Amino acid sequence: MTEITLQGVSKSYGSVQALQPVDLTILSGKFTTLLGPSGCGKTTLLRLIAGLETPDTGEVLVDGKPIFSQQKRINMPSHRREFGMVFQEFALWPHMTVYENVAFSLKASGRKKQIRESVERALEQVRLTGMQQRQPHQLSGGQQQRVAFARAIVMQPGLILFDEPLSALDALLREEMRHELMGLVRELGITALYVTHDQTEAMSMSDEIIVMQSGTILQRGTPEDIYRQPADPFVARFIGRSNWIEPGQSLFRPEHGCWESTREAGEHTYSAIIRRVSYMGDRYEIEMDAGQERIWTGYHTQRMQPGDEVQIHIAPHHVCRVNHAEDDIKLHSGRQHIS
Amino acid sequence: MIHYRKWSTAAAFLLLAVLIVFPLLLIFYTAVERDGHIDPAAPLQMFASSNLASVLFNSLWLGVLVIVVTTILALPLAWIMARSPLGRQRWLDVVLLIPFMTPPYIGSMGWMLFMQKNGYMEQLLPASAAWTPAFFSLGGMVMIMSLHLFPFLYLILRNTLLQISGSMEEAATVHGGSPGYRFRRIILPLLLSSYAMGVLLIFVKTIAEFGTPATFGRRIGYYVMTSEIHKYISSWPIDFGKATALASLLLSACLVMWYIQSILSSRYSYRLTGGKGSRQKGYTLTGWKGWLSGLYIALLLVVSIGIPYFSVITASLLKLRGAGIAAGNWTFKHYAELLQPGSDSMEALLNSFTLSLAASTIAVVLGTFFALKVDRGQRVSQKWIDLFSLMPNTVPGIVIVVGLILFWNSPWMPVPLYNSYGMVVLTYVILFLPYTVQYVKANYGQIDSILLQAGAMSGGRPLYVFRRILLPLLIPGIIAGWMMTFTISNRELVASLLILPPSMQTSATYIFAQFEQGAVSMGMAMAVVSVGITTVLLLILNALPSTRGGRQA
Repeated sequence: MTEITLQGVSKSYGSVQALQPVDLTILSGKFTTLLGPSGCGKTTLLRLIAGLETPDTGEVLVDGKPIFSQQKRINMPSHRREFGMVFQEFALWPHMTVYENVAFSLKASGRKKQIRESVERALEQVRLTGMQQRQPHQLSGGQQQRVAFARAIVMQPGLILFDEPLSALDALLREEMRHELMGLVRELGITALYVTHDQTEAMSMSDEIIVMQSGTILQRGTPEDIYRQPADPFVARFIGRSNWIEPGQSLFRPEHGCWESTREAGEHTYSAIIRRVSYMGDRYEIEMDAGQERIWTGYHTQRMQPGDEVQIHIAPHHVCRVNHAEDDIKLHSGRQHIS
Repeated sequence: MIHYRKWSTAAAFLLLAVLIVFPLLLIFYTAVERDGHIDPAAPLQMFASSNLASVLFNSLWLGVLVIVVTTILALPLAWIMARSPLGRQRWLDVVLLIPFMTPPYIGSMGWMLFMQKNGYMEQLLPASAAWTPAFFSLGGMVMIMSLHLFPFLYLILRNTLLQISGSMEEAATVHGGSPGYRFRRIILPLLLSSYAMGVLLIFVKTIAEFGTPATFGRRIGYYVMTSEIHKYISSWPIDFGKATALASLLLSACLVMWYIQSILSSRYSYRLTGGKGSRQKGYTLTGWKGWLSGLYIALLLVVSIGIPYFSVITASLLKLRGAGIAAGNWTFKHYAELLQPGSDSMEALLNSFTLSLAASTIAVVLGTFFALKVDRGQRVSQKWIDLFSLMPNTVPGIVIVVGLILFWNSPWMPVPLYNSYGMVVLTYVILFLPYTVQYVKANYGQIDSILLQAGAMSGGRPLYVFRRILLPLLIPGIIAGWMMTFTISNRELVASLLILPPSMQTSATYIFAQFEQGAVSMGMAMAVVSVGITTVLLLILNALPSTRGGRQA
């Protein structure tokens, strides 16, 4: 198990600052997810840790020992960092069999002993026993994904990096692989750092989520924290649906809007005009106009008529305010301290 | 890693400078240098005082005429192959490449044997004697060269026509375009940029061509730049001043053409493959249109392949030349004589083989190195390496050869390579380096860099990743480069004529010499053997199951 610490790590490409200086600790044995839209710097951060990119500033420590330090002029190359990594599109070597793909790291590091046993164990863990002699192109997407995973764990690394590993799979398979991947990581007890832009993946798999946007870290916390107490308007908008009461300041989630009053003290009540009704199978999604340019979403079990006026009630503990945390971040001028 | 990159970049530049750039610059220098001082007007004076201007005009005029005739040949063919069921005949595509793959000097010799007085044409059809002499004119020369070069233009035009997807035309139809209007407003503008590029390349190839001017051109007294450069370097009185003046002119003309071409291709080309939906409209040519198309292709094949190969093969099989095509006048004795162990011809054949073997092996190593240095060609240094390493493809072969002679034969050159076996190998390597560079570069471009990153993340040292991942994946490109270099070196004429040490022959110079001296049967037998062997070799290597590295996930 490995703990990764980043201190003041930043990266820019030409004039584009891909990653603002960041302090961050990836906790040992936890499943941590970097979540954000494309171009937010999450992949850059992952690749800096992998050693596939070189930071401009700062230090990267593994269990307290630097693997990169701009000041001390340390930059351990990727192949000596001994992390496992699962790439987008799998990156299986097309000229090697499944066995050779998985055995690569053992052979590359000169561990000649018990290669066969190690490879077989890794393939067994991903349920691919008997596929050793197949070529990658003879495998289905899910199987290729498993080979990529077996390749990453065969060396029993302390840390495994995932770069949007499920994005090349179709929706059904993606969900299946999600459960399987999560199960395997938990079973092996390794530290995992997972990059994705898919909030469902992030919410369902992670112990911790780090939300990023344009090279900065906006919020870090458990999935529940991130959903229930978004620290930034962007986080609130990016994860789940948000109905803004005061734009950028307070909001509630669609499932917390009630059509009948709960008579709770301090309950918020608004009237709104129904604009659009979409049938989703398990429910109706109601789009309504609550005035002051507030367009909200609500869920209902029955069809409603566009144009009707409705009352919507929100319990006080379901109204969340976002701007406090944002003020906190602004206090630290530029440098992000999140740990 | 960083150190390695810097050193290897420096090495690449040094190699390219010594092998290619410096010899070419030396041509310009020699052209303007007079008795130790620089006189930029020297080439101009030379042009004014001699007949070089007419030679220049001859070259350019030839280029223009060949453009016209190749267009007439290639455009209908491209149309038929892209828009009719005949296009589905895969074998036609291979066959149509034969004229282009036939060394032009052999093609010209075939035509001369066919059309000359008492040639095969007159033997088969005595009445043709009335007009066969007319063939030995500029018109005949243009025809021979066009029949050699048209497949090139055809391929470019056909590929563009295929890429102009059916849906683009369907869209025009649905929006009310009549067939004529569609052709004029949709097809033509989209085709035009490829056509312009193809035509520029045809022009460059024509003025750079040596084989036909050296054989047919000499016979009819039509002198062009390449044949004159050859004359000034190889026969008395040797005049390097004139040779380099012409060479620098030819070089400049080609560079200008390539520059125009690169501007055209970057500005006026459209992305034509529109995603998945690039399917073909099911054209059917029925009735007289179908017949006419078939007839056209058949006729083209007869003229471009049938006649030259018929002449060459016939000449190699005739017992007595004077007796002509007649029963009982057939024999294999020329082949037996040719392949006699220890004979001059056998030696020439073996020379060609060993020289090509050495050249292609070295070229593949160097070419792969350069291709890997070019990478995706994003840095400035990478772009320069790309440009320089592809230079021998841009510059006419004879110009490169002149530069190499000037460079390696200069008094201050400490390496005594000139007039040796090694010099020939070096010349072939330089001339055909671009093939490997291009094949390997294309191959490298298809390999996703994450495959290499995955290697590093799995603990592979850079060298290990190179050996176990990159190199195996590059094998198809390397093999293609090797094959091409081997085949082309085997058939190379101009470099062999100018560079070979005295008393040494290759199959190409043997064919040339025998033809000149009237020993046509032996020359043509050699042509059949040489072209035959290299073609069979190409086919065998092509048919080999592509190595495991050929598959991309």
